[in-house]
Amino acid sequence: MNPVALAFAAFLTAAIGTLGGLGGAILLVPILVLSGMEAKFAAPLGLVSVAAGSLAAAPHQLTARVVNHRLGVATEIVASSAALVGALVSGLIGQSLLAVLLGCVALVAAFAGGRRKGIRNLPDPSLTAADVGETPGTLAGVYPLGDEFVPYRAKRLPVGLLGMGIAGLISGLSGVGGGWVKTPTASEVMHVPVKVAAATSTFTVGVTAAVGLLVYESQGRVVVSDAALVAAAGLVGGTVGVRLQHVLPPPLVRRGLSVILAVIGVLLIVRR
Amino acid sequence: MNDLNTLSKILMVALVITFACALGGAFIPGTVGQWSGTACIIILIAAPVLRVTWLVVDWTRARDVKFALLGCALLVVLATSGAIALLR
Repeated sequence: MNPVALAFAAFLTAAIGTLGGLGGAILLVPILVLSGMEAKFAAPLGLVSVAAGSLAAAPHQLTARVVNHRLGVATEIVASSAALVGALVSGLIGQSLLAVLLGCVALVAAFAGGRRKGIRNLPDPSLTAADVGETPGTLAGVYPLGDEFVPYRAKRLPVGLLGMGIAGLISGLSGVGGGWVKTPTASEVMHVPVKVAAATSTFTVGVTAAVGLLVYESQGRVVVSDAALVAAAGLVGGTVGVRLQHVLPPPLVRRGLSVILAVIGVLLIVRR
Repeated sequence: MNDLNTLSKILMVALVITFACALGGAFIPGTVGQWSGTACIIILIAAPVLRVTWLVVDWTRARDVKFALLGCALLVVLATSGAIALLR
């Protein structure tokens, strides 16, 4: 792939990945492979894109206090442990079967997000800007929505943790980030507002990508010049994505996320 | 404590430095470009670990013991994952 096309693909996928909390690798890696790049070199570039998008989003999301770090840390323990198990047993499952499973998961997540209408968590007029952020000791918090403030609390924790475990397992098995499963799980299973779910997922996929990158770097699979180009474009894309996430209404983000997931699901099943 | 604003500023500095290193790695030929690109990748790996470590310290100071321990557990899981993957 020529450098301009590589930079454009990295910019676009990082922007979409950060906007929806998907991570971007699930989009970038297939594009790179379709363009003729070997998968073993495309996967590290996907993780560079994810890490860049996560870093680009961090300052804005921290200032806006839209990330629930307690939820992210609690769920990431399960997801990372499952990712390790997935990586260790990845040779036991055929790639074709894995692609169908991934595609089905993406389509179910797309359907769950797309069928829901309206906003689940409603603003509370008694809350002020001082209440925005996480509630210490809990998986609850308040996030700003325009001029109003919305309280939320993560529900169905056991099922949610199971979903995060599946996300981690998929991540370990397939080598792509699990953000595209984590965001719908937090939003649709745990009833966390989609913007908080996406921002929290953007944080956690950065953590997962860091470990993956460390491994790829030690294996000599990171082509530094390509990785640097993807990182530069990913940082710009991530910055654009997080700005869009801040201004777009939650139902639009959720439906956009559903459309992207549906496309991913169909691509995975068709391309197997 | 909840000192997320300071962390936000630190990560903003990291973002700017990473971007500069990435541009150097992409466009400067030779050893300088190679080092610049490698520095970019190292920062991308280090930033999330720094963030989790910062949260653990922040929650410990705020006496949010349960989540401070969860943060420590996550760091252990990450270190174990990295070590196992590197040794395979």
